[in-house]
Amino acid sequence: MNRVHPEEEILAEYASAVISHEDRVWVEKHISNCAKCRKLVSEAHSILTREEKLKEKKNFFRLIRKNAWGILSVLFLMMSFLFSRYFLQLLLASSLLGLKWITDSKSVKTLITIHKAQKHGEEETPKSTSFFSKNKN
Amino acid sequence: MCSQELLQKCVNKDRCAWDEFSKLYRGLVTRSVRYKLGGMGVRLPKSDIEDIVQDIFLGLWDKDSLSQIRKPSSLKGWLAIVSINATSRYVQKNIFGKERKIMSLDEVSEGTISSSSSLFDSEREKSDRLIESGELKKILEEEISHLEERQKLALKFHIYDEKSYKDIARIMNLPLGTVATLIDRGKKRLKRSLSYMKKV
Repeated sequence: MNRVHPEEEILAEYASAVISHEDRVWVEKHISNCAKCRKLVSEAHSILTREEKLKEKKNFFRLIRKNAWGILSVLFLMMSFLFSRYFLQLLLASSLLGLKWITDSKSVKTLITIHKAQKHGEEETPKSTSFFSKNKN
Repeated sequence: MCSQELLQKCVNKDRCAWDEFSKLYRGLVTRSVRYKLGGMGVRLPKSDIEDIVQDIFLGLWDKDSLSQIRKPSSLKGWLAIVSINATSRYVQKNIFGKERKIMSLDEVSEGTISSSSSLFDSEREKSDRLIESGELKKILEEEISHLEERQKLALKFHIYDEKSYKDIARIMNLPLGTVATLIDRGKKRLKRSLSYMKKV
């Protein structure tokens, strides 16, 4: 029985599945006989799994928050078919929310920034040409 | 900043990098401490948990422990293990240690309590059960020790740590089918040897 406990770092590598083959064989041989180290690996693995799940959950909620206007727009569109009495109002609300979703999205914001920068550049270039033309004169 | 760069800066004792490191991993350390406390059946106030977390970060800074890390991808696992160990030490020292002292004082002042007959009966029943389960555990341990290394580990993860096949496959970096086969064969073998012992 191997009673020299592996270092925390090596056990962490094993729990994170980034350990080398040589170390893996040694760690497995040790933890199959050492309850303390096996428990440590098992607990670390449980924590890492929980962390992954938490991250997935966070990403999911971030996605929902990011597309909240889009989701509301679809919801209003569905409602417009369900409540035909307010069809036009709900359709209008849905299209407004959809518009808000599109303008709020990152890609559109980037496009707007590029467009603004281009416009700003165009405004500045004639000034510089006029400066050179003045100098020439 | 990538984790390797951040780690290097922390090893070089860069204050800003340490602030960022603490901000990034404080949640993981706190959750690890809570997980371990839950596993030990100990409930502590928030302030005590914060103290443990603070001690862990201080220990990392003082002992220069981050320089031990060879692979930055194992950083989270390493922090989890460090937190688990620190929590066990804290509980042993501050909670179980104190309880032991209080118990020994009680034993001195109220030494006759344990001789009460009703208590004695229930205690005897309990201890009988414990002996039985202890013996069973011993037999199980012995039977498992004859198995092949990987099968032994998979079975121990499954029986003692109550891990699912999927988790064991992830820990041992083996296909799910292999783990299932290892455990099922191990269980069958254990069943056979235990039933044989029963007959004897």
